[in-house]
Amino acid sequence: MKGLLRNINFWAALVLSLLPLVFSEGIFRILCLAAIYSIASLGMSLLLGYAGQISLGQAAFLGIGAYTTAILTTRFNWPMFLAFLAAIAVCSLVAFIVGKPVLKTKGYFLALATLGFGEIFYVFVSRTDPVIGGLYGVGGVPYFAIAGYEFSSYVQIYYLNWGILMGLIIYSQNIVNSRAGRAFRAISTDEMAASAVGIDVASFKLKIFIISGAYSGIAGSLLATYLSTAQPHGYGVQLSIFIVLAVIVGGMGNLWGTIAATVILTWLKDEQLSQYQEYSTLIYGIILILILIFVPEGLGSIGQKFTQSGKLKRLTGNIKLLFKVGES
Amino acid sequence: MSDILIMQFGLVGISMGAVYALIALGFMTIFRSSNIVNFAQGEFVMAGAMLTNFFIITCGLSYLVSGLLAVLGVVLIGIGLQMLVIHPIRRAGVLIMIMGTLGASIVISNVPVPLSLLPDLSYLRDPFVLPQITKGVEAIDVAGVRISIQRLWAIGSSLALLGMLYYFSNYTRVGKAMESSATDPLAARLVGIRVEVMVLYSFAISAAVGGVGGIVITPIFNMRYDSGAILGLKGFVAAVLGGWGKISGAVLGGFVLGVVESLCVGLIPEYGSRYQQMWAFLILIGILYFRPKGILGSEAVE
Repeated sequence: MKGLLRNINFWAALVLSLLPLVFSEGIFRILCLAAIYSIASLGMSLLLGYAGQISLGQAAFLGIGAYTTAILTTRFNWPMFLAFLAAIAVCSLVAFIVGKPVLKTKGYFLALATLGFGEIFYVFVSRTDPVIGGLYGVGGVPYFAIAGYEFSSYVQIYYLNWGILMGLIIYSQNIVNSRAGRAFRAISTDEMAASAVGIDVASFKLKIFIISGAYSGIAGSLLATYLSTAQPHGYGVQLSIFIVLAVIVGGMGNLWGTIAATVILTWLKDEQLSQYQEYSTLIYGIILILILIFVPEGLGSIGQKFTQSGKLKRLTGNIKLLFKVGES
Repeated sequence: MSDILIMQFGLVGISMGAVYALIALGFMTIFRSSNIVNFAQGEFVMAGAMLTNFFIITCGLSYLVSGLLAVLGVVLIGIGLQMLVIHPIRRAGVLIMIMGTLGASIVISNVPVPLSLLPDLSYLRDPFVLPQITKGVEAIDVAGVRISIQRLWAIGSSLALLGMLYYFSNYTRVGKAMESSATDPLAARLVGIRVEVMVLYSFAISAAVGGVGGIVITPIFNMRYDSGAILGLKGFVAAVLGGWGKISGAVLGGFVLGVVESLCVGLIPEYGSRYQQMWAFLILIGILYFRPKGILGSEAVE
């Protein structure tokens, strides 16, 4: 099993690193963005898909990461990489402070509390003018750079974002396959039983919340350098819903599925739907509902249902029959 | 001076709180008959105001007829929501239900946007207020505190609805049947209650309550096609604040939230009104930390 997983990572990395040889620059605009959102939805996959805790305030963490990076680089002239690390630290800290009271609740109330947190962040940044620029946000964020090397073209940013994502996938797989990962699944199934076998439920929940907050911080920081600005309107409820939707479509507890879903949804939302302008949000909402009605267990479940229900067997049987008829 | 100021803001808070109470009641009506939390609740309020505005401006109908038609329209939206979205996903768990109702909220709030492309409907995208319900006297003075008639309408109509709902859910057969279908769906079915129909009723009632809330608040509140979500969330906060699961809690929470919010906005210099939309959620985080049961205490939240 472990060998197989390693293989998926290897093949994915190989294909992804060869893409720039085949495609022109146009596709990378969307792939760079998809990698950023994938980092956030990967964190969400750990939190929701493994530990079973919903958060509808994830956009706020992306926003905090983006604003930290933007403010430190433009207002205080910090080097990019340091600002990136600071964004992760700030997001983890905020996740700790917010997670402590909020994670006491579950289900609908956890959803409401995290939505409320997202709303607090959104109102705060869009109404505060000094330093963070109110509705206009902070502009002029420099390109990502490590020790003087600047990532400025789409292909360079593509390698950077997918490289970071790849590292985080391997890190996430390690978490999932460790003692902590098993604890998360136990909490997700039955909190009472988990605490009965000696798992410190509250502290594990807080840990995974902080990790997913830090992932979102990384994503937000990269988003700020990619868009070269941090503005409030990108970090509202819509983005939080988008991230949760990606985890649902990708399948609970399926890391690569989540990433595939994020790429598809990013392409759908930012490339396809945006051309319908006034209709785009409406169509997006309808697609969201249709997904929930018809594939609530994620796209991965379609294939499973198909093979399990015996349709595949019947289909191959029919094909064989056809050939026999043809021969005779 | 400052006493009068506090009273003035308190009064503004009570009228806003009346609407929060109505939204919270809408949440409770659905939750008590199906254990579902409908995140699209605020859209009923928006739709009530939006439809009334539409009937008055485009169809040229009188205020009263427009209001009645609007409530009817919102009830149809509520029934449509239950049949098209809630019913198909009712067995899929809390997460899917949250996302489904949020998706419905996105859809309902964005219907006016493409409609506004039509020649005479471009006003649908703009913020609007409805005319005052009663013309003539605008406001009355009571001991130096100015009370606008419209605010009295908001408070009065929500209290009336409250009374009706209280009577309906505690003293009528249908009301009791609705509650029993959430407490124990199987037992309810065994004694001949059609659970699905009860859930449908609860959506219709809750939509009507929300629609009325929208009509009474919009003369004093700037409404827009996307205002519903935040109103809905505040109604949810009110229900948690008062004590989740109780009708009395929803009402109390609504008024308390309205007053506290209004006092924050009015009395905190400079920052109060700037961060107007934030206070309710800070109150929520506070209440979840210190007393998740809410003011009246609730059995649903440990």
